[in-house]
Amino acid sequence: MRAVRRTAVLASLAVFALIAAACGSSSSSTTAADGSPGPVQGQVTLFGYEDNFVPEVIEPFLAMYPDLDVQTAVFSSNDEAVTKIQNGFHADVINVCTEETGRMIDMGLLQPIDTSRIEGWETLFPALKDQPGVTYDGQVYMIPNVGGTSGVIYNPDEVPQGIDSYRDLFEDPALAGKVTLEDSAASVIAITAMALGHEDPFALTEEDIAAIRDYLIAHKSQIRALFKGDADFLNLYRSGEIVAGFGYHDYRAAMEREGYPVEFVPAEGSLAWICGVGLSSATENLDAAYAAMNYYVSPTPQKFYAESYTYVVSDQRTIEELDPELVAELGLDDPTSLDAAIALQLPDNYDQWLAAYRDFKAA
Amino acid sequence: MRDPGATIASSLPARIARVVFLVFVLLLLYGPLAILALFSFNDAIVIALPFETFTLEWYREALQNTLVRESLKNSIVLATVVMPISVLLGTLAAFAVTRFAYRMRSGVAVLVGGPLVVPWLLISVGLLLFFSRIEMPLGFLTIGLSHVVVAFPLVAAIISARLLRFDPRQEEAARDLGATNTEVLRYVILPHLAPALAASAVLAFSYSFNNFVITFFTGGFELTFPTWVFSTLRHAQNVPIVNAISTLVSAVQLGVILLVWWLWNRRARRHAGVDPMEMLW
Repeated sequence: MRAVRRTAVLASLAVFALIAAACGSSSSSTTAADGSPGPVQGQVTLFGYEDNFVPEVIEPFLAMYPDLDVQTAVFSSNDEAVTKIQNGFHADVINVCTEETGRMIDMGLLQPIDTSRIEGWETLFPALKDQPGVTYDGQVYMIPNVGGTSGVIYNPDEVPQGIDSYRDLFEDPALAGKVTLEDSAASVIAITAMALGHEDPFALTEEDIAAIRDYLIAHKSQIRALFKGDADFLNLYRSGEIVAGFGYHDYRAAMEREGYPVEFVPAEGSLAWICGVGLSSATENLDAAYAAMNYYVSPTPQKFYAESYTYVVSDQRTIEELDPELVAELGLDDPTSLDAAIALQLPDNYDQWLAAYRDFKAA
Repeated sequence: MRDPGATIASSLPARIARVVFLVFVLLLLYGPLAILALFSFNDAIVIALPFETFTLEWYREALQNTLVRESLKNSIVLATVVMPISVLLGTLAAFAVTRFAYRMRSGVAVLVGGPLVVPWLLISVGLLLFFSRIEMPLGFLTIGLSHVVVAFPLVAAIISARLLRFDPRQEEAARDLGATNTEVLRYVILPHLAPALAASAVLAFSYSFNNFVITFFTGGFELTFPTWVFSTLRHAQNVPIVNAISTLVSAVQLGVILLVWWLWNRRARRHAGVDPMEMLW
């Protein structure tokens, strides 16, 4: 009996320790102790990629709202985030990208945003805020804050003849086994569609998708590896395992900074990744949620994103604070170039896209 | 009868094959770790040859990073709490499935071992749904409970294997000689289980400390070390920092395992002629 009681005491102590650890955590939460009362109070919960919460980004926000209890949680992919929210996790402001917005709206996870409460709405680049995924059924569901365009990236030393088409990636015998594509059904199917002459790569019929799948399988020997993220791409490029591939403009910038020879061309069309902040349908503290959204599209975090990650930023006010050379590097000196980009998105028949992509990977 | 070991040892091709196989297995097991450690000293953000200049910059950055320190602290606290609970529950479960005869014993054994074969993603989402339904706020408590769910079956498996090899007559003999239940536990059963308990404790700690999937889904707004690593690896410039801190963490974990191994060996030497592995299982 005494042993049982001792076990119960030990178990209680252990549970207490867990609770104490929870209370003691301070990395991701900041509660103002004695700051003067601000207009925004209570708690706001933010759910996003890690780069939303690095000290350079989150600390100025915490300083702006000392009376706000800010809780943050990170994810490493949109799929993870959607699964977690769908199954009961609650966050007020969610970091979303255009390809996920529609799915999240259909699941009832996001609510429309009142753009009159977004201070920088009028100064956002129109090319970014008009993209599908930002607007859905006539309502704004996501305020874009960062993005980037894609195209063909190649090593001019290894590919002196140059590349100007996605088709070259699949058909040029000189590139056999030295090409990389992103491990993503959306981007692989979309660029293959463009290589085969489709003007709108996200409006594909079942027959189109079947033809794209067959083409991909027939030219699979061109592909050395499918990359996940810029770290993967850079490793493949630097090690010489690949000499060309589909990639994003910030990869080119990162490699240029590292001193590698690199060329970037938009080929038949540039896909744009656009991410921003969305408002959870379960948000209770709207004032705090809008404060967070306003912050993420303001020049302070955007300047950091542009300088550190070479992301294209959404607010034209930020451009004035950036080095003109960086502005040119990001392509922001010619904002019309963004107009031509096609936002990554998940079409209605995305299941067919996934099936075709699975067939390609398994072949 | 010829000693098969002697035959293998005397055959040169067989010895070469054994060495090649050993090197292959070691490369497979420790090659990735070695590469990670090597490039944590490389003054470049990508993991590829040629090796640039030697640097300790990534270690400095990693140790100065407040998120790294906080996430490490959280993971250590979690694992330190999860470990004894898992060892206790796993040991009790092991006794329940190996030492007592009752009608549903096989069913209980399957239920205890179930989490070892069910994919962690399913367990994670299931636990998340469960916590959500009972309106339990996600946090360290839910992460800790979830870690126990996956760690204690492992402990139960290790302790069960050890208990199955334990001759119950030793226990009966102790009782015949007048030992109380507590004395039997203290002087007969626990010494026999000690190596398995130590191994279980190390593994339970490691299960909790290194767990990403379950932590991600059952956690709220806490940052643990694996969560930080997974979320950070998106950017190439973070890779060397992750390499550096992962090398340090791996070195500490390896050190703990070697320490436990050394203690086993020392104990085995005291019980002359006992193979340390024999003591474990």
